[in-house]
Amino acid sequence: MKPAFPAIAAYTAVSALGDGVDAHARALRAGMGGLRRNDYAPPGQPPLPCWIGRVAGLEDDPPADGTVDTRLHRLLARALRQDGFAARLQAALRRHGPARVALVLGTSTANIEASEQAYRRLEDGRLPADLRDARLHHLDGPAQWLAARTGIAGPRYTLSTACSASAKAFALAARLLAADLADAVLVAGADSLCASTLYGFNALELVDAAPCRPFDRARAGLSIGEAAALALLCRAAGAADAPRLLACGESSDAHHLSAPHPQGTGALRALEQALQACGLRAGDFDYINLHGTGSRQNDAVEATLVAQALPGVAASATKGATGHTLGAAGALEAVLSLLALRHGVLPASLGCTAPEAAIAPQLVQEPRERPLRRALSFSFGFGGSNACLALAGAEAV
Amino acid sequence: MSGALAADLLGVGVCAPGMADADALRAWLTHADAPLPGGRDAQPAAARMAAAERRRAPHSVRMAVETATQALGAHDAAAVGAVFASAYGDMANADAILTALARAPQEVSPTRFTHSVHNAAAGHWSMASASHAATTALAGGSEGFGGALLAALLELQPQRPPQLLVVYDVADAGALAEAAPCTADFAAALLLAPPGTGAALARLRAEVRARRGTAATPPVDARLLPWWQGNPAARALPLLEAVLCRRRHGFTWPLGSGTLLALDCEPVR
Repeated sequence: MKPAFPAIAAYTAVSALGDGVDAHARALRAGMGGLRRNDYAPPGQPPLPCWIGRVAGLEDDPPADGTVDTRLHRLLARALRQDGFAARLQAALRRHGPARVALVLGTSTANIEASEQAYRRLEDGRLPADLRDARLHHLDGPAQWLAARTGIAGPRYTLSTACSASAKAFALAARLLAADLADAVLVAGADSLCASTLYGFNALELVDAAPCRPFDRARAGLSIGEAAALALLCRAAGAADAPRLLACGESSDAHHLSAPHPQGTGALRALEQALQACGLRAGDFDYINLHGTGSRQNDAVEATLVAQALPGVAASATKGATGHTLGAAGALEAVLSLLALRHGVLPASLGCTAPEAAIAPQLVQEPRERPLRRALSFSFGFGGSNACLALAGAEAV
Repeated sequence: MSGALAADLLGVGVCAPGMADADALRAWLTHADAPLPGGRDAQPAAARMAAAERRRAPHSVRMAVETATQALGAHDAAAVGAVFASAYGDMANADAILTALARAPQEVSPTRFTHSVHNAAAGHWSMASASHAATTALAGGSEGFGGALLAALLELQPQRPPQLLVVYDVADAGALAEAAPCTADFAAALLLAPPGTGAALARLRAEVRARRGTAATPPVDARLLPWWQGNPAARALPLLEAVLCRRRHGFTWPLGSGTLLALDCEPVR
């Protein structure tokens, strides 16, 4: 039986590249990046000497509701305002009923920026009175907030597998649709700048002092970014002219909590699973959005893996443009891949001037325009959590 | 509402204060006079983990790995995927990181940061089991059990290997406790298989229904209420109680604001 691939009826994102799909498509076409010198730091601290992918002007956005007005919720609220996304979602809620619309939100740190603020001004060891709302301090807070704000009353999930979280959110959404437990699923990926990840990756010596250089031989770590990306999945019958989610392969490295498997065993398994699930071969894909963080180990393993398993397929990492948006990266890079397919543009791997030999022949260093049918997107996370999304443009279905 | 799901329950695991495994819970349930063990801390053996990893890993990870090991029994871990779910992760680890960030951000411990990912338990489980099977890590707040169980059921496919569901939360720590109260350690694991695999402890049938304002089913044995009320993972306790007491029972757990998971559990005699 031919599998019924879910349709991606609407999608949008906010990141360091801008707000909404047009801003992102413009940046991809022009090969423009959004990294800036780090100007985000806890009060009284000098900013760490590095570069970040910051979403501009969040501080001036309208408050994202009462006691839970956090940086992350402002990111999500701004994303909802782009490209008519909120209206598309409301139409789905009206059409199917709120209980038939589900939410799967992938994040690594949720509202921890609010917990950080609270710990800087504890009152006799207690959370300050204005920062006691539980949704500020546990991982499911943003999904609870987003479901309440949008009116989604179906199953609600927060998936948190570090940097593969919002890629894996697509897989869970597809399973909810396939089992007929929902008629539409909002997939969200969101992570905001926060001290935890800046200082945490800094402590692991995984942050480049220069703008990150994925796959460059001189790369020295990642640049942290923030983003919110949204996708509305539904059964294909309801959206014949939409792009499709063909598959999501998932696997574990079973090797190390913070370092990739040296032979890329888990990542390869995720790829093979995705290809098997959609019945396609490596050569059926025209573009690979690489995980490509700029870390020494990740990029070395991924370059070898891609050269061996996906030879000749044009590939690039977009984290040189957006920064590593951690739990949001899977969804953000799915959106960037969908834009690549829609506009027929191969995004450039910004920051890479002298690529690793293994991947050099297929690494895209300048944006190139050409018709694209299908794309793969890799996401690998701490804990050895791997995901590989397979996507098809509307014309390729 | 549509969407009937079925599974065989092949194994269970439990770890709680004074309760080392499911056999201990079963024995305690039959002694109607025994009080609920006191204290906040469980003592997970987590013998499956390499000694160095076990030392470094947070308490919540050891709780999860211990119960997963119990539920897996003699099955082949390499073939078994796993859904891990915890409302609050490891609060002591989060409290230590947040405290360091507030005082001297440059001194955040890299080991603590590495272990702060919500899938730390899933990662350690895959390492301890040398398993490349897919795992996931969910966080559903204080009512996350129904969603986690549903996610595990959705992974089951005919003729395919079983799936583990592991739920765990540890006693609260630091200032976060006020926003994320958890009174005692509790972890539970279920090994689920497609129907008809044989050797089942119980047969489960579940469906998703549209309904507002439904509360989770409480335990029959009122002695369990402090754990059930005090720890989000202990939303699994009433199901374990029915399985261990070999009692047919129906359950509901909220999924979203307008949906619930309804489950019928029929023990196999």
